[in-house]
Amino acid sequence: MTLFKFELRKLLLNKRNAIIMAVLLVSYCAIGVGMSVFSFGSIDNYNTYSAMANAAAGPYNEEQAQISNAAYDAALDRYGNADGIAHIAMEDPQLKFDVAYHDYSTTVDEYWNGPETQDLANLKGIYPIQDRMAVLEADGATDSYEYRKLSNQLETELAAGEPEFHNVALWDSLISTWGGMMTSILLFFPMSFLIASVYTKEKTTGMDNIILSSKHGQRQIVLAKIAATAVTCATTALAFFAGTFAGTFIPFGTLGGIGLPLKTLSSFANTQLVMSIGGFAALSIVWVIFVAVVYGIIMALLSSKMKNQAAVFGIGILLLMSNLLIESMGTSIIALLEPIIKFGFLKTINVSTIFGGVTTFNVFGMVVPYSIMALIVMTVLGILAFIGVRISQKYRTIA
Amino acid sequence: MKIEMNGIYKNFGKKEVLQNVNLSMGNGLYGLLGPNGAGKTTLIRILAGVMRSTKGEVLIDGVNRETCGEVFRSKVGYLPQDVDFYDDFTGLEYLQYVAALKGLSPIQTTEKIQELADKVSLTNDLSRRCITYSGGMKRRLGIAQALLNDPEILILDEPTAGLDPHERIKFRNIVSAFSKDRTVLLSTHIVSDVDSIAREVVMMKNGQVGDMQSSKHFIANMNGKVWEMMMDAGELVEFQKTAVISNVFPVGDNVNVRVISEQKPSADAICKEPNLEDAYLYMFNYKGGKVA
Repeated sequence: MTLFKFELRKLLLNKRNAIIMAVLLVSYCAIGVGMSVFSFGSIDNYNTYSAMANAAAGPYNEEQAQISNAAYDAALDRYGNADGIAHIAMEDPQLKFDVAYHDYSTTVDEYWNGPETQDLANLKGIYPIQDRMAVLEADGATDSYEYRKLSNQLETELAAGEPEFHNVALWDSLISTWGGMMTSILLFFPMSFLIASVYTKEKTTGMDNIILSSKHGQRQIVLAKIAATAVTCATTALAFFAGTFAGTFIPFGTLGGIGLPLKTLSSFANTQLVMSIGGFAALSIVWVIFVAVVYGIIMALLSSKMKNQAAVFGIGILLLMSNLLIESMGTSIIALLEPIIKFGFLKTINVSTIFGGVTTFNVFGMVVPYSIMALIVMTVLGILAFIGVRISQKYRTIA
Repeated sequence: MKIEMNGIYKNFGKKEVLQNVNLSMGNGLYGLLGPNGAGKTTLIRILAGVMRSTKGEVLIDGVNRETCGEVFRSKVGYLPQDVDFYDDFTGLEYLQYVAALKGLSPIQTTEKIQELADKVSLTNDLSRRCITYSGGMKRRLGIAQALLNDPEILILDEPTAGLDPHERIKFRNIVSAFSKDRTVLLSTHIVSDVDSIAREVVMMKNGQVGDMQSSKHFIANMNGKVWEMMMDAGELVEFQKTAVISNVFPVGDNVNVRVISEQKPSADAICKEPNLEDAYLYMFNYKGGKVA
């Protein structure tokens, strides 16, 4: 415990890093404010939008859908594409509402009929699922992995019922801030910088000599350093979540929609998770902290193998962005490295990807959701990295 | 406790830094003398267990050090040659951290820090941040950390670098008293650090060590090889290119030169009592201020 206290002092509880952490917290807050306030242009615009959205809240309204879809189509003719509309809608609460209801009506349509372009491995929509299940039943394949998967999915979708429209624009904004790329840049980049020195510091100061020749310099020190790394990662992640959360909601003084089903959020229309938005926000925080800790342990392993903090930081970022690098390669390479893409950090820190879709894995015939698979993969990675740090420290020498 | 280093070799790439080093030490203080680049730090690191030898073994009471692990490390106190401290830590925090690394209980930690801070004259500076310490203070802090666990084996690499004369004498007294029932290996290129306190001295040159002998033995071997003679400054310039000179002091317009030579260097040269520094210079054949 004493060693842990000092390792934490070196990594987090010192003047330099306290300043970095304070600057990060303020920046996160500002980003939260930026993402929410600036998507509405002004608080007045938000209030006007809220009044319209609250009035339309509830089950699908065909009449409202027709009005909003017509307004959307007219805007599309005028402004060219969705990005153009989004830009104009910032200053036009009515258009923003129409876009939201248009998107909602599309979600309702997809709930029953599935998207226009279906991924046959991950079928969506009540009717397409029922149709496919009927085919499988006719083939006598009711014991197959695909049938079990579709059956589970159908049961969940029917239990959740047709999505309802609600005023959740702020939550949509928050979840968008917590997306994979934003989280990696805003949270994982600075976090990588903070933890990269966990072992390199001992090399640059020459303290390695004293550590490696002391009683607890091979075993207990690893536990202390990993624990300090984990706490630093968790603290940085909490600062990110607290800052963006506060920045998103404080200007409007409302947490409206916190108790609504997760499916209400536009990016979670297909989620198989049955929980409230607030519950999911809490789950997201726990999940990203978990992934951050796993990433931190891998960074500790890199730090134990290298001599300078900048090199550790660089390789850490490369590791973080490995998905993007692989996805930019040829299709044959992509197919070969599919597991790295699926469970790379850029994917796993994206809560929408992990919890928002219908992707499942066939593990010995069992239907395993993406989130559970990611949990298993991350846990295994974390354990392997920890063992790696332990072995690395045992055999580490000065030169 | 008996420490043996048997057939130690160390290569860095193609460079052979240590060649067949054999040493044996019991209780007492041992001096490892040698010029910079002789391989002292490498040897010290291998003994401290922070570097692996390419070949050879270190035995602690007949047991291979590799198999002793934590037991060995709990008995070692080590002051490396180059060590810096964490900028944000105070002297007290630094010592508390090393005490935790050495597995001391909180009570032991408090007692030992008080005792050692007093010994190395840092009591009033423990609450200051290490970054504000002078070079000498950092060295004293380093010495204190090495002694925290009351080590049975104390390994000191250039411990007096940066210390003023008063601090060096104080340090010598601390280490001398400490070495009575323990093994202390002190590596240095400053002969006076070990001259009066070392039980035995070993000289190291180009990665090889000579025999471990007492200072008296080294000095006795120098009998009839140390001379003093007078010459003028112009002659000295030429003379020092070929001779090993241990001291020069002015006398009137001339200089009195202390020379190490197996033959009488001149007709008016007078044979003098040797000391360990003479033996060191003789061993390393310092001509013109460089190792030959």
